[in-house]
Amino acid sequence: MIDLTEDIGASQRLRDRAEAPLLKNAGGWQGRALIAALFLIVAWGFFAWTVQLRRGLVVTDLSDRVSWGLYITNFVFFIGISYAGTLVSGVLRLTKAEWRRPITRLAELITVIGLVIGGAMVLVDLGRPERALNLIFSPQLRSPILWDALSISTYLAGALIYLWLPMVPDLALLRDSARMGRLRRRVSGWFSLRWVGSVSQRASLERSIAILAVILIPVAVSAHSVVSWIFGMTTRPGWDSSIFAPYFVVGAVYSGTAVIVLVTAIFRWRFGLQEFIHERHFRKLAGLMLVLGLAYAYLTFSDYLTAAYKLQQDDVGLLRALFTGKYAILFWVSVGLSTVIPVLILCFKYTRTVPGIMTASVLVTVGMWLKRVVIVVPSMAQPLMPHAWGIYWPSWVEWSITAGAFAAFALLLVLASRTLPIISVWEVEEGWDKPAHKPSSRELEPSNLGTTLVGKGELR
Amino acid sequence: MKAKLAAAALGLLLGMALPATVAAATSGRPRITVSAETTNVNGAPLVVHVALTDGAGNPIESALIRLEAGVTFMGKQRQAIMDEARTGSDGKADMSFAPTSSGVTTLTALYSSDLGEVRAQATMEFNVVRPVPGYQAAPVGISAPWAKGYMVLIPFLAVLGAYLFVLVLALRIRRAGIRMSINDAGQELAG
Repeated sequence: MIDLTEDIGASQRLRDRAEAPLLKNAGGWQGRALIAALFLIVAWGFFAWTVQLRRGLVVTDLSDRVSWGLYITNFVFFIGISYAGTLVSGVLRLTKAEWRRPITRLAELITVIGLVIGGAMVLVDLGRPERALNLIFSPQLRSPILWDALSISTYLAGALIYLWLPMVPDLALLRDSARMGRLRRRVSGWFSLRWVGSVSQRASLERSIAILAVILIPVAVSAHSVVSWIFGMTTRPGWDSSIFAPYFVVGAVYSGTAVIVLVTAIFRWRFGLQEFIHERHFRKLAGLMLVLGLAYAYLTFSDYLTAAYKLQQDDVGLLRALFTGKYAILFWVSVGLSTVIPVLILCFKYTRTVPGIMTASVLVTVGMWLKRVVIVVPSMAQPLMPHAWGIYWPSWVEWSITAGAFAAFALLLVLASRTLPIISVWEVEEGWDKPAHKPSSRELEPSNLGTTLVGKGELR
Repeated sequence: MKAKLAAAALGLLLGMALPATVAAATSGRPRITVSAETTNVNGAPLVVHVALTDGAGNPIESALIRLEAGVTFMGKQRQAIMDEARTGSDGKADMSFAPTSSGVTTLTALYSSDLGEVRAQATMEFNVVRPVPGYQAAPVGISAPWAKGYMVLIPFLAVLGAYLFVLVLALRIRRAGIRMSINDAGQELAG
């Protein structure tokens, strides 16, 4: 078997690829155009928010009947995808899944950015964001809202440390790189903790990361559980469910994994990382998505079956509206996009290709967002007293802020890729020294050798 | 013996004559009227006012009035006695009744003789509506007495403490780097 571990060129190519997006004019005019377009959408969303701040929530379609709408949907969605980093980086690190190495940095970035955007959505939903200070000045520790603020801020703090610590050796690379500007070298130097790669430093780093991973997994689970409890602690039909916490956690991991696949594929294509991120990585992520998709389908079935079997008075109207009534199209489209079609795509070997996995990921991302709409809006619109159903269709302000939030997510990812190394160089290099993955017969096919097996260590 | 038979016959005659005397006093058919609120909330007590007069419009005192309502029992519709009261000197009586099912309910007030013969009756219909709940705050917190704030604060502070521990560990990386720099500088000087 060919041994490429002594291939110094591969190591240099990896470092070049990691540094390339950070160089001046790295993105070219397309990169600048993308940033400008995203910035314009974010600015439009920000303008819509200023309209809301000036005139109040009356500019939205939220009312006393349907007081949670798109903003809370986005909040749940973004907090959900923030689970990506914890899963791919934390869980797979602790389980010593070697294939995680090239995608951990992107997953950690998605976590931090998802949490920032998700947290911002709550402030937007408040209408008067200064009222968030009440959580500090007059906290009610028995309220799930405060639990949410505590768990998400704790999770964000941990995610930031978890983004930084594994980046220390890569920041040292930037510090020592002659191609980087002076300011970047200096800032990288501050955060690289005088890293020289000694044995004791490596031991301390590994230990810190491992401990943090162990802490972060329950923190992430608690964050997503608390998000579900905001709904589940009420007696409102559709939310009054004891399985909401695991339901939300599984949904979060599922949508987070789909977003990782999408972001990884885009960055792999844009920055020419095919040599280090192979089809094998996508197939591993696809396997993960398949298991999570099936688990999510099971929980969905269980949740609705128990309600539909008992048919308590308030559940009747909601279930009728979801299955055959005014929300039926939204409900069945969300079920189809989030679980049925992606699971079918991922089940079969012939559709489990990179384009197939990408398609499934797009469907899961869209479907899971719609699913969050299905969770939030119909339960709110369902009257608790003999009265007509609430009516909700988001106003232009809500659509604009939603578009701005998604654009901000993409913009922050793009800016992060222009600021930080998006591939964990030291982890990938370390992976080359480990007992490597045995190539499958599919990867050994001549047509796949060019794209899947040129990575250093892949042929060990 | 003859004297006893004569007394019995007299008693019988008197016994037959007395009701006739009461009937004469209350000449004509007695008339009963019933009134109440026409709409009531399910479960809330409804006060039913009854007035009993004789044919001449004079109030009948101490008459037993029965209030009946249609109820569903064991899947069948039947009349059930809801309340009983005797009229006062003004011939009026108040009774109460708490409906247990929503919809239109028929109430019947009955004035019967002691032998059970219905002498007068009146019915009225009223609508029973579902109770409208007053405003109830959403259950946003655990109200159990054992739920204390520190139960949230302790895990929160524990996690922050763990983060601090990790950061202290991370600082070892920096210390090791400084030590190596000093060693390198020392070796250079020694060289």
